[in-house]
Amino acid sequence: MRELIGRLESSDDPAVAALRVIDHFDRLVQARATAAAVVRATAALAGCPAGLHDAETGSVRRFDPEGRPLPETEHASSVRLAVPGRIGAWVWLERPDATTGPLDPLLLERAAHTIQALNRPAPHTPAALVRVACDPDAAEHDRRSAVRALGLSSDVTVLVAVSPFPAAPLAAAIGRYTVALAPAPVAFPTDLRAGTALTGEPLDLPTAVGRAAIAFRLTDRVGGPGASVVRYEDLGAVAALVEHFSPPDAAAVPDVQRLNQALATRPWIIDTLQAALDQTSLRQAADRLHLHHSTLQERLAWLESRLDLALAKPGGRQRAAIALALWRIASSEDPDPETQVQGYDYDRDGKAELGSRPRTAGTSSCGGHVNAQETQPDSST
Amino acid sequence: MHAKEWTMTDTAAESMLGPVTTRPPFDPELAPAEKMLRAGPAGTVLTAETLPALRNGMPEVEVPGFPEPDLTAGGRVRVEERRVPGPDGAPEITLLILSPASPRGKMGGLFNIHGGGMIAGDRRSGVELVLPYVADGNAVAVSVEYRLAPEHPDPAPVEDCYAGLAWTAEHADGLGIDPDRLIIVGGSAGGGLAAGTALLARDRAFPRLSHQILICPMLDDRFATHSSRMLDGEGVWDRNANLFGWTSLLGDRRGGPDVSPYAAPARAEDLSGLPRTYIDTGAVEVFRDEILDYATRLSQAGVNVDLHMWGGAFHGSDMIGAHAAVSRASVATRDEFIRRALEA
Repeated sequence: MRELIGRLESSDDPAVAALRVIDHFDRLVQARATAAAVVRATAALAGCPAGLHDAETGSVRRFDPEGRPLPETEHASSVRLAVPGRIGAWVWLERPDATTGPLDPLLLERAAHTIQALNRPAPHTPAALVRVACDPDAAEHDRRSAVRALGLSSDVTVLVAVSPFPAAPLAAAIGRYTVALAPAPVAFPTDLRAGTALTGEPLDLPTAVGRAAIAFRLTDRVGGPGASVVRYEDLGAVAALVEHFSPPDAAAVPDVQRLNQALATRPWIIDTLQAALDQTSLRQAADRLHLHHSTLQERLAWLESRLDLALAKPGGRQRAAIALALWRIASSEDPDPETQVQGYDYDRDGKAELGSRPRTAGTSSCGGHVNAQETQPDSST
Repeated sequence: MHAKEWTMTDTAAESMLGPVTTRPPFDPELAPAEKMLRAGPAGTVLTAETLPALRNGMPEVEVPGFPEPDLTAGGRVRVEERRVPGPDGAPEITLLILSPASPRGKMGGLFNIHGGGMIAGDRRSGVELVLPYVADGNAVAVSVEYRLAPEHPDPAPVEDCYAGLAWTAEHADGLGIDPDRLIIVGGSAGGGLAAGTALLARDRAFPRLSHQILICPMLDDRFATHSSRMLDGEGVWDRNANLFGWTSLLGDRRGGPDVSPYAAPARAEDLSGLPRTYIDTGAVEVFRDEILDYATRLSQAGVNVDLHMWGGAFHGSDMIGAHAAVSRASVATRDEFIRRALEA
């Protein structure tokens, strides 16, 4: 009798339809359905996409009325309802043009209560509390209680990285980043690659996470000539550059394109630019790079002649500095930033030696060989 | 709700079918749909008195998730109806023909037989199943209006289906159908009729079918299996409804020695020479065991079979609970098979 069930008996009586909605969700509770099943049922009953955001688990679930999963991007204009008893959790319907159906308030209310009823109480782990405290969608009082439960009061340092923090007690994976919170100020370990931001108001943590993520885009690898920990507060105008350039936009800038092309055969150029820009003298820069200063001069000459990056000329440093910052922005979403530039091999004593590995090669312990390209930097184009 | 008082134990069926057997639980996500249906059409005890109400009682209204299908698929499908000869000495039958508005050469043919327990439904019922393949330009679909029991008992339904299939095959060229890709498809009673029509086509040596797609088909009138006694006032198409459907089709012959395999394909002893088969079932429906047995015996007869049993699913739950994860899995699996079958 497939066709007989393909058409539900429909009633013009809103009370009957409301009872049907209530009944449907009650039955899901009795059958111990999953939260995803509740979202699918909400979408099917509403006839439009529905979603669930759970700040504690950092998850978003969206489904269309046919039960197909949708991408995790949230629908900004949707009307939301908090899931009671679960901090930072929301359900919503995605109606076109912000219209509402007559049963929408009931649907959302029942969906939220069903998720609550089915919810196995989430342990309030530090990670869950960190997510709530940093979630811009969480209600202010939820963020406030999370901050309190984490023992944070006034100054908080936010650290954003892509690899886990080994010794940070208050850390959580949020999106593509790992976020750690620390009562400020903190001394950063030297083997850390992170962006940081300081906030005096724990309720501003969502903003601070965004700022630390901006700073992260400008970090160098651990052991590189540039800073592997970048503080947002030090950036000033440079922060505006990061805010206005997405990685693809930055990668499209011609100077950045030329740097990337040159990197294929000249893996040293980023480190060289960084050291030459950061140090006040050529000799200091050469020391930082563990190079003879004549080698550094040859490289700078190569950069000037081939890439028009003339650090000694008026405006040249500025252009090089901006090009380098844009290059870091462009590279900041590469899968493994630790392998972005491999200009060096390290021997067992930790002494850095020059190599000419491809930029994606891993670190190896066979150091010490000097490539012809290093001594004859102009030998190829 | 008005249907509720119709849901009562059918004592006649109880004495005939014996005690209710154990069933697996419904999938948690499908449980609300099952309960809702019991309060509606599926909760109605089918009798000669309630049948007209059931045939006509389904208002053609749009329900979220179940809009009336636009058969033209937004202009991509040409909709045509043809009156063609019926079985010898019987009235003409109507075929609903759906073909791509912009055909690109010869396509596979989907000969569709609607469901409805042998007693309800029409040529438009359930054509949403075949419409996407036509809209995509991969198939021509033909859906047959067969006479319904009990007004027209066996062999009228299956012979009407065969007459429609034979006409379709004879006119394959004009319809744009590649005769090497002629596929018979049906769900529920339509699945049983599709299996019976495929047996007729084999035994009459025309036409040659490339595939039979039997969606939770109704195959066996004998009520001898475990699952045929498993649902009483639960799920969709319970044992009482099934008894009413078979009795409508076969009358006093139901369950006796004089039922042909074309009416109840589970009775066919020789399943060799049948087309490549797709067959599926929910784990919680009365047809389950006859479907599993049919699939096993087809395989033993040398037919390649894709058999899928979906745990927690009930009869037609992939349509009524289309949003559920198990429904999505079963629909996607079937869809993938049909697309493969339609490939040149």
